[in-house]
Amino acid sequence: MAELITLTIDGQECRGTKGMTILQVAKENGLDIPTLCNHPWLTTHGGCRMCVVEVEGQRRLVTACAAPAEDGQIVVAHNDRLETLRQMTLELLFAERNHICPFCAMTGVCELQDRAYEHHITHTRYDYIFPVLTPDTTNPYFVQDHNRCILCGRCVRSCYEIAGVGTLGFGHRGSQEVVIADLGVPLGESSCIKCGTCVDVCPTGALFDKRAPYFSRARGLERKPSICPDDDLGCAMNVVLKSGLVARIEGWTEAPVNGPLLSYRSRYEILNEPHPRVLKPRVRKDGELVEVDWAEALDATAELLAKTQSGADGHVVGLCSTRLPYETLASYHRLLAEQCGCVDVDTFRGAQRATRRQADDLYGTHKECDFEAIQQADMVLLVGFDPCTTHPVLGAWLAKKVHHDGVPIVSISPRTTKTAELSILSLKPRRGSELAVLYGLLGQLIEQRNLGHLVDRLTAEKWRSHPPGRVSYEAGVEEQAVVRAAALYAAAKNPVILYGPDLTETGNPTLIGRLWEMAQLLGHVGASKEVMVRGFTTGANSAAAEQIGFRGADMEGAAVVYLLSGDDPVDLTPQLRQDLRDAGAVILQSAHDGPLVQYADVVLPSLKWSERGGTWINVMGVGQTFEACTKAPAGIKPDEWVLTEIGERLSAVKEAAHE
Amino acid sequence: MPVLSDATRASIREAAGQYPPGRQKSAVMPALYLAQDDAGHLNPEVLREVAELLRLAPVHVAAVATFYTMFEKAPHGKHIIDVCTCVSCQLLGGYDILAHLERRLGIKPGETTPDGRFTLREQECLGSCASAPVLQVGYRFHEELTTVKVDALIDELLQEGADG
Ligand code: SF4
Ligand code: SF4
Ligand code: SF4
Repeated sequence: MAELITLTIDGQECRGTKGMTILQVAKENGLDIPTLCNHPWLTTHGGCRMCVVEVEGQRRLVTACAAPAEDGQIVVAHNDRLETLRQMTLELLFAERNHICPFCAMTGVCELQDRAYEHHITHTRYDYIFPVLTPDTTNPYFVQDHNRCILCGRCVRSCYEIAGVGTLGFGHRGSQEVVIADLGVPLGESSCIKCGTCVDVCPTGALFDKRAPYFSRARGLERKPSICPDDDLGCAMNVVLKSGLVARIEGWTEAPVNGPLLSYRSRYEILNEPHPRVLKPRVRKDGELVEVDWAEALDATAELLAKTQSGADGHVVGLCSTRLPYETLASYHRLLAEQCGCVDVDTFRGAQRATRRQADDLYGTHKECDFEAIQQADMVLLVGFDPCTTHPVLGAWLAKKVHHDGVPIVSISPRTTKTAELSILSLKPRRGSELAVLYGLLGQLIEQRNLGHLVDRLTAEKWRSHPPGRVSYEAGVEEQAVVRAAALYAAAKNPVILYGPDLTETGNPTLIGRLWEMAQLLGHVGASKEVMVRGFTTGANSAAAEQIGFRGADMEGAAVVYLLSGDDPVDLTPQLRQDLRDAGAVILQSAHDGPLVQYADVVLPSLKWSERGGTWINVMGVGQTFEACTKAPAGIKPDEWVLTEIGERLSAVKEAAHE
Repeated sequence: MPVLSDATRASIREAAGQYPPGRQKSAVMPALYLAQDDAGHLNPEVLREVAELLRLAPVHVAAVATFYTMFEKAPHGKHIIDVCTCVSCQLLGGYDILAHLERRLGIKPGETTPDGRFTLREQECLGSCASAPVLQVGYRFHEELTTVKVDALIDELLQEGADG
């Protein structure tokens, strides 16, 4: 139990606990002390001097954000002297750079401006300095305008403490001081991961969204949480709405997995729609897709699905996006598996789940470790995984581990990965030779640690038969790298192994088995028997798809292919292209008029991310439920409605056939 | 490709080792001095290398290097002559010393002689008022200056160059 304390602030008795600052106690007790550099997500800076207060018995003023609250303290947070000082601080800030609010992108949503109003600043008594500072527009998503910067350091702290990269810092000094990136390079050429956290925390117009300022003024804004559909971490975000449209995306303090950290994809890219929306259903007539009404399109869909039900005309194949909510995935699965009797129902990128499933079949079901184990890891081995690209928030967590705690990362991947830049060692085996590397590592581990007795003779022999020399020959990696990778893994107390799409998409479950073995060999197994290994997939709801029972689809000889892609930017591989060409007919339910449309015989409109509500289950099995944030354009029906309508029509066709 | 010599790299690692683990940030100043002595000035490649050696984000190193004026960020002459013209030195003839050097070297403050031997600069307080007027060449102070002493110093520095 924290020790309770009582202090007096501006004559009011305030309660708090030991360890809180004066500012925290004041806030908890509903008192306002003005701040600028302070931010709830960040460590204390104590640099802006707005929160100076008088503490009885202390000669000097203290900053409330940094001063510990003490029992019995008597604090004055508001009086004429403090007011004058705060006014002076504000006037100096206004005089230092260019704060001509009517010309600023953030006027109306600026904390400096708010403080100025609160403190009745009508003009400044000092000469304007107005140094010539060029705004940096090289970042694709936001602008840094040094002219509006008050050097509060919020961006600097967020970049290091939340984004983990530490791109930003203070350069030069005195009146020349500016926020710099790396060695003073333009932001667009820097190590910035474009997470936008600095933009979220900047109190002024010094950092602002390129897209948002024109329609995100404070008035009439609404905020609704939603989920990033891209990967299976389950990152939640705050969608800022104006007149029912998405103005911008902000970090959401209460996000259970990611806190306020977002990736450039969930914050910015999600707002860029590469193709126009599909607004009306279409049916192919005489080789041309023509717009039809919903009834006709749904009839055509039911007819196509019914035709193949007998099985005489070949089978139906269903492929669906893992971005969709649980409810939609379940309805889709029900329609195809139960009503159409179709056995080939899968999701796009189904191999990512299938490989893991096969590994469970081959080596027994393994429980894998959770986020906490990853947070606590003192060494990370990445195999076929580039989190900085596919799971940027995880990538940022890893960057933080590297920069803050010096945790070594070893990356094994046949492609050049972004995460390799964080890695102390990266091995780039030839495609298809990953297994040789893993055998090599296992062999090294039993050699280096004398662990031969822990495995049976045949297994040990198999591993030993892959000495670094052979691995080097087969996989094209350096001998020394294999030795060192094994040594780094062996030396760690709590290493974790993370694998991703590049491993699972090989379709080789043996690789996963070897990773589990590696963790077990060194006893890296948790309290509930979980191995310190974790696989990740793309698509927010892969875990839900797995639970519902999407189990692989054979496209060969498909009479009808029913694609529910929603807003998934499906990777149109040569294989998929061919399969769609070979299929008897293609039904496409898609939000966008993308490259899949050309293969479709029926096109049904679908929802995009902000229009969907429902439940998502992340990689660790954590469920989150969100409501839709925006309304779909007129004429677009919810996916669920479409699935139900098709189901009803199918039943009708069936009954008719019976009669 | 490292820009710094192996010896400098080793010294920087050693400097970092003098602080507790995780406190490599404390070694930035000594590391920058070592790097500057080796490379002449701290260009981006040098700063990047120091950051790598200390395992710090580059910006942490850049922040320190740009904060302090005694870290050279641009190419300069072999000898940098910093002449103090702050109050005490000024009263005792700091500007005469500066003017004399301007004539002798044929350059203005902030410039470098065409042969690349000397860079002349005017400095705020060098912190040696008691022995004013002073100037600084590299890490050495030359005190209680007269124009005669200054000429002798320049001769000496030129001689050094000729010998080397
Ligand atoms: S940053 Fe704030 S105070 Fe400065 S010009 Fe913009 S709105 Fe005004
Ligand atoms: S850019 Fe914004 S957050 Fe960063 S120091 Fe300047 S005002 Fe503060
Ligand atoms: S966007 Fe993220 S990584 Fe880039 S400077 Fe801002 S906080 Fe740092």
